[in-house]
Parts: sequence; C-alpha cells; structure tokens
Amino acid sequence: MRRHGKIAPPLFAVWLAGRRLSPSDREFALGDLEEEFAEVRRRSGSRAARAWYWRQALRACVSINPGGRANGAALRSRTFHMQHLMQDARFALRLLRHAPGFSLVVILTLALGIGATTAIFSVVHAALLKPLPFRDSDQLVVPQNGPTLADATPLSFPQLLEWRDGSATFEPLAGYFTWGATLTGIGEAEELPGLRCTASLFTALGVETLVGRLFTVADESRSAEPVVLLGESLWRRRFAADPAVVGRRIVLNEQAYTVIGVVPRSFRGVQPGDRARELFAPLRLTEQTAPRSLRFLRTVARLKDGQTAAQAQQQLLSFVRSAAPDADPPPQVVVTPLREGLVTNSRPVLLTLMGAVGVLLLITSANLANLLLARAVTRRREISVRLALGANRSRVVSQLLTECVVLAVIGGIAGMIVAWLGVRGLATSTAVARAGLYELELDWRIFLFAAATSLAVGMVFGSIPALHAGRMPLATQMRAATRLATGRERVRQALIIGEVALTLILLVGAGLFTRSLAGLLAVDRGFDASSVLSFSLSTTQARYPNNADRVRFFDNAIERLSHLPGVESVGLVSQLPLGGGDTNGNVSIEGRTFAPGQEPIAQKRIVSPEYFAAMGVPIKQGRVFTTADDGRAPTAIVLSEAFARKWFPDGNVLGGRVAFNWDLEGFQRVIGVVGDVKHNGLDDPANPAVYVSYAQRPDSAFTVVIKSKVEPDSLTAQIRREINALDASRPITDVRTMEAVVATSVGTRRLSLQLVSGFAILALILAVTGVYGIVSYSVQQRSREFGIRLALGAASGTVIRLVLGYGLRVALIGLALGLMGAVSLGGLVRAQLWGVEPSDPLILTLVSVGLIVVCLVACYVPARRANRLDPAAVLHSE
Amino acid sequence: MRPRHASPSLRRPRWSGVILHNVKDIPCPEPASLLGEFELMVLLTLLRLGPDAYGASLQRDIEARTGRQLSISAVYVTLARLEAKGLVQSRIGEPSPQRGGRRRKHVALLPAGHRAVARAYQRFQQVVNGLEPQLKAI
Repeated sequence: MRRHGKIAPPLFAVWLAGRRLSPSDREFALGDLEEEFAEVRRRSGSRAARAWYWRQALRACVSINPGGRANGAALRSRTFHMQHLMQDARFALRLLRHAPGFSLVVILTLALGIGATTAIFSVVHAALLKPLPFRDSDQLVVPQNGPTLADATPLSFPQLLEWRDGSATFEPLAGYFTWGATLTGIGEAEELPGLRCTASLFTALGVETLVGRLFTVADESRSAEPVVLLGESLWRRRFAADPAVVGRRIVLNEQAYTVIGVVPRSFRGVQPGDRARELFAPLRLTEQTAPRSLRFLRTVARLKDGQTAAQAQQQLLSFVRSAAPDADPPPQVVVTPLREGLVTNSRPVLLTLMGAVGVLLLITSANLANLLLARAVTRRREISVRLALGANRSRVVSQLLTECVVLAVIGGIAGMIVAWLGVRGLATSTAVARAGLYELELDWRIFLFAAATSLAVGMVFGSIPALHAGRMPLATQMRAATRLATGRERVRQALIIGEVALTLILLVGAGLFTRSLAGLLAVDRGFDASSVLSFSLSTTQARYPNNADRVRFFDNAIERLSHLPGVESVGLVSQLPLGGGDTNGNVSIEGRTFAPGQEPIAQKRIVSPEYFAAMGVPIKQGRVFTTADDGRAPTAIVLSEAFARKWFPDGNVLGGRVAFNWDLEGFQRVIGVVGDVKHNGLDDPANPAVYVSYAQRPDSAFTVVIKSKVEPDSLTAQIRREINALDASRPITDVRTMEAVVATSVGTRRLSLQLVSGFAILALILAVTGVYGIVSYSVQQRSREFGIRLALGAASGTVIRLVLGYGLRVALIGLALGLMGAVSLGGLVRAQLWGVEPSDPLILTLVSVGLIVVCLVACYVPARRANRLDPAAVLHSE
Repeated sequence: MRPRHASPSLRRPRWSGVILHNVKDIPCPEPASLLGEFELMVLLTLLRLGPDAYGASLQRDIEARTGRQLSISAVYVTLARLEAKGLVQSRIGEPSPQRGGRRRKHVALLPAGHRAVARAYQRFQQVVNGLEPQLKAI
C-alpha cells in the first residue's frame, strides 16, 4: 500500500511491533524498522520487504527478554510463557471432557456457523469474484448483436468475418459454436461434446497446447484438411497420453480428422457447464452453409491494452454502422465483460444466499455468546474463589481465553469438515454449474474469516466471568440466591431476541421462495410434460448428404418408434422447450410493412406433424401439419397464439402468408395456430413462435419427444434398439423425461430454496435452543421465588404462566423485530420471487404463528420443572 | 543522567553532609553487578561503531557477527537498561522522510561504559586464562 507517494510497511505489522516497545522508544525503533524496510525493498523488492517487516514485528512482539534475569533488576516485560500455555490448554481439555454436553453444543454451533458460511461464500466467490480461468480474464468481453445484454443475439458467420477482419476493435475476436461428434474406430463409439471455433479463440483465451500445435487461419478454410484438437482428459482416457497421437487420423462423425495437438484439462471451453469440451475443430463455414440470416455464433474477444468495454462497443458500433449505412433499422451491438455475460442471471440469487448465510453466522455467534455467558454464571463461584485465594487475575483471564481458543480450534476443524462436505455437495449440483462456475473449491480466506469471527465472539464472551468476578465480594457471590448480573441477563435476552428476529427473517424468506417455486411449477407451460421422454438424434453429412436422405431417416425413425408398444405418439422438434437452446429471427408478413425496429421477431421451430400431439400443445385455429405437407406440397406454417395476437389482432390469420426466413425462400401459407409454449423458462412470457414441418424444411438433428402410455424411462432400451436397427452408427443422447427437463430449468431456484430452507431450519433449532436455555436459566434463578409462591399456596397454573409469560415476552419482541426486518428487507428479494409479494400476509402470519408455537413448546419443559419444585428443598438449600 | 546505585548500602548517611561536605567529589564505587551477555555484546558493538550508532545499526552488526536473529525491541530494551546504569548516553537526531518522519536516537558510550567494557574484558581474560587449548578443542 502506498502512503504519501511511497510504499509504507504494512500498518498492522507496525502496530504490532510498536506494542512491545516502551512509548519513549517506540518512535525511534519504528523509524529504524522503516529505514531498514526501505533498504530491503530496494535490494529485494516489495514482497520480500513486507515479509521481512512482518518477521521483525513478530520477533519484537514475542521476544524473550535477551538479558535474562542475570541483571539483578527483574524486568517485568510481558513475555509469552509457553509453559503456562500448555498448562492452560491441558486444563481446558480436562474441563471440556467434564462438561461434554456444553462442549458438544459449542463445537456443533461453531461447526455449523463456520462450515455453512465457508461453503456458501466459496460458491459466491467462485461465481462473482474469482478471476475466470483464462489469462487476464478481465480483458475478455463478449461482443454480440444488441442493443442490450438481455436481448442480445449471437452472430452470423458473415458478421463474424466482418467484425474480425474489418474492424480492428479487438485483439483478437473469436467465434465458436457447440458441436458434438461421435468418435468411432477406436474401441467403443463415444459421443463427445466439442467446440467448433476460430483459431483466434486460443490466442484470445491464452490457451497453449500440451503437445502439437493449435490451428491457424489456414485450417479454417473448408478446402483444408480437417483437423482437430483433443482435450487432455480425452487424450489420457482413450489415447493413453501418447504424444504420438499428433498426426494420427481419427474418425469423427464418420469423417477423418487429423489430430494436430492436445489442449490442457484446465481449458473446458468458454461457457462453464456440466460437460467439459473434449474436441476442438476449426469453424470451416462458408457463406452458403452459414448465411447472414442464421445467427448462432457465440463470441469472445480480448480488449486492446487500456481499452474499456464501453469504448470497444462504441468503436464496433461505428464500424458496423459505417459498413451498412443504409441498413434499416440501424444495427446495434453490445459488448459485455465475459463474467457478466455468464453470471448475470445468478448474481441476485448468489447475493441473497450470501445474505442468508451472513444471518446464519450472526445467529451462531449469538448462540455461542449465549452459551458462554450461561457458562460464565456457573463458573462465577469457582473464579471468585480462585481470585480470593490469590490467583493472578491475568492468569485466570488467560486460562479462560485458552479454553475458548481450544474450543474454537476444535470447532474450527469440525467447521472445516462441514465446509468441505458442503462444497463437495454443491459442486456436483448442476444448478451450481449453470450458475456460472468453472471450478468450485474451498476458499481458505472465507474459512479464516468465519473462524476468526467465531474465535472473537468466543474470546469476548468467554473471558467475561473473570473480568467481572473480582468486582463483588466473595461472600455475596457464594450465596446462590442473589440475582447477580442482571445486566448480563439482559445481554442474553437481547441476544435471544436478536436470534428469534433473524430466524423469522430466514423463515419468511424460505416461505416466499417455496411459494415462488410452487407457483412457477403450477403455471401453464403450454405443454404436458407428464409421461414424455425426449432424446437427441442426429445425422451426419457423410451418410446423409442431402435433404431427401435426412427426411427419409427421420420418417423411418418416427415410423419405427410409433409402432413400439407403450408409445402413444412420436414428435420431432429442433429445440426442446426449456431445453436451453433457442433460435429466433425476423419473420416477414406478406402485404405488411413495419416501422424500423417493429418487425416481427419470433422463435423458429422445425417440428414433425405429431409434435403438438405428443407434447399436448392445443390447436387453437385451423390445423397442424400432416404427412401430406411434404416436399412436393406448398410449404405450410403454423403460428403460436402470441404471434397471432400480436400481428394479426383482427383474428384473420389463416390464409395469411409469412416468410420463415431461415433457409426458406419466399412466403409460406399459415394453416393453423397453436397454443403458446414456455421456452426459455417457466417465468418466460410467452414469446411468438413460428413452426414449419421438417419434411418441408429438413435439418440434420432433432430432439425426439415420445408420449408414452407407460413409464417413460422403461422405453429407453427399446428405443435404442430400434434406432440401432435403423442405423447403428447413430446413437441417441441426452435421454431425459420432460419432467426432468422442467425440473432442471428451475434448478437454480430449487437450489437456493433448499439452501435458504436449510439455513432457516438451522436457525430455528438454534433460536429455540436459545429460548429454552434462557428460560431454564431464569427458572433456576427464580427458583427461590417460585418455591415461596408454591409454599404460600399459589395455584399450579400460576408458576407455569409466569414462566411461559417470560418466554413469550422474549419471543414476541423478537418476532416484532423480525417482522419489521422481513418487511423492510423484502424489497431486496422481490426480483427473485414469482407470483408472490415480499410482504405476503399469509406467509408472514403462518411463520409468526409457527415460531410462537415452537417457542412456547420450548418454554414448556422449564415451566413444568418450575412447577414441580419442592418448596421445602428449595428454601432449605440456602 | 545520574548513575543510580543498585545497593542501598552505598547511599551516603545523612549526617555526612556536615562533616563530609565534599563527599560528592569522592568518586562512587562502580556497581558490583556483572553485565549480561547481551549487554556486553551491545557495549562492544557500540565501541566498534562509534558515537553515531543507533538501534538498527547495532542490530545489523550483531546479527551479522553472531548470526543470531535479534528483535528491535530487545535492542532498545537493552539500551534503555544500559542508559539507566549510566554506561551509555543517547542523543536525538533530526526526523527524516525515510523513517516516516521519525527521529533517530543515536547512542554513544560514556566513560563509565568504556570502563565497564574494559573491566569485563579483563575479567573474561582472567577467568579464561589457560583454558584456551581446551576451548579451542571443543
């Protein structure tokens, strides 16, 4: 850090060093150290200098008196007496063994607090703060068609060429799209996820090969020999890490590729996700195969030195506008930093989780403080006796502190285990993968933070008995009847009230999220997901070179699958709803012109005739495709209700003509309207969609959906057999039921709901334990009073009412505070809720009532104990 | 700084002011306590470095010669003790920016310090006399 323009030694180390020096010498000694620091910095650099300074500071702090006692005057310098430490530690361990209940509760509390905090903070850190696993990742951006990130669309191939070669905005710009290939010819056929990309992708991301070379621009040309890069794990798994794999020819999708190199395992592709990319091949596109109307290329680019994303966006925008000055509407671009593009959706979720876990940490700290304060009361007598017998006060304090440290260390180790398990569990969750995390690992800094918090709380509240014990005469303290330290009890009450309030907030949060998720799952999706199985099926260029072959293949596939027992209907779709992919673009309507920026944009789908029946999508007007709508008949179009409503408001849809504009020339006739289908998410407003039959607009790959009369999973084996019989080289992949697809689409919500609910339950347990503890303590303190009341003939209900009243008061105050907090914080999570307001009265009421009931139950046990007191025994114990 | 005597028996009796009015001219006997090992090291280093020595230069020199890592606080504590015994004297220098605006405290040997070092060396020689071959063989 810099101070007054020069580098200064670390401030904390300066303070530490100065502590042990007498005030008169402090200035000179610190000056000496600073001078030496500058010298060391000049010789060996800042880092070495800082390390040197820390060493000096620590040495100054812990130094044993060098002169020893041989000088006559015994100097009372405060030194670290190692023997005392060991003694204290052993004593502390013995005490803990004698109070196993207390120790266990403290250790569990610590473990939960530290563990949960560390695990969640690790997730948040990995998603939001940690640099992405690319070289200088904050220089990486994603340029797309704009105007904003929310409605950004990918690039088309001609656009990529123009932006890359024409505009000198980035250094460099790379494009890629996901690609899958089946590896055959080497043992078992395997379907591998891959990436087709420009050569500049590797230079942009700073990836180097383990063996061999990367591709060059020359490899991107369609006439060049097909080459491929392998991922390291694939190389180790199938090629035995043989360096001679370079130059070897392998068969992918029935085409021969030459392996030119291997990229390291740390490079999984650009997008984080569940499957690491194993194959990387050059783009090899042409204007014909990837025309301007097809937008599917994702990009990543590196900014020039000193350039910001906003500047790049401006530069790119002016280039694009000047290249197409007559374009109407004028093109828009948006350039966003790579990280934002990946985790935008999840940022609010992650921040909410952070808030929830912070609350949990507060609650566990409060509980810890409570436990220690309660213990302080029981040890008060012991400490007073020790002090009265002449123990050194600072020794007693240091012994108490050692106890706390020992507990904290054990609790910390337990917390580490909890955190490690938590992180492992979270890392395997797919929702976490979608949240934009590349690798999830325990973050030591967070662990230290949480551990330090707990240690601090422990030490503060643990040493209170000794600090207060000497204040009162010993005789007074020996008398148990005295209600001492009312102040301390108030502190405990305040802590419990705080815990109850925070627990309420968490419970309300859990309730809101539950209702959101339930509401979302209940929304009308536009299709029927029950009993539907889906899988991907693709054809290769080699075997099915032209459209007629592809149509025939899928015709046969549908035919075979329809005849399976248990199958009700079979459909094809180019992109599965809620499946994650989308294709959309302009749609023109014959006889209508639109103002710039107002042209219809719709989701474009290629489907088979039975698709709507298989997915249970209702037909609203006209008809859907039949087998008569084949290559010879005029092309037919089916619109979604949203499209019809938006652009045919008068209702005269049928017979109108629209242009599909995706490898289909001219206008096509609208033959029907179907219901809307949620595609990008259950909370997606229904988007306009345009459907065409695959027989009239073939494609090479589809997702097959099968409506089954039986359990969908049971059909998988038969399906595989049929497709195998049709063409053994075509595997079926991504076999999932539609229910699973829907569940995955709300995966992130579900995960955060589970986590918040988990925290809420933990908080509830802690708060209830706290209430129980404080009521028990109160009963114990007031046992004399209750004994007298009972002796004087109080009705048996009176004592119970008194105790319950006390507990209820604490709980109600906490409840009131919690409600206020929940209502005021509700606005923060409004964006993540769906169909429910943050201050939903039903949830608030339910949670409040529930919390009160639980607290009353917790108070009941001590109340009964108070009631059963034997007055004689209590009064005699004085 | 006036030397403070460690043993009370060396204090002048009160009545001596009348009869022995020039008692204060009689040099007081030197303190009988031995110098600690570290105190001796510091005094010797002061002898070597001269009157411009200060905390850090002492630390550096001793560390370089003995190979033993010192803490700055140990040095200053020892210097304070030596000053209390009247063996050294300190002088405050000007503040400087390299020291973060702090001043430097230079320490120099007083004549009593010189004598103490010389005596310590004599004592050491007397005790070691004849033991050199054995010491070298260890």
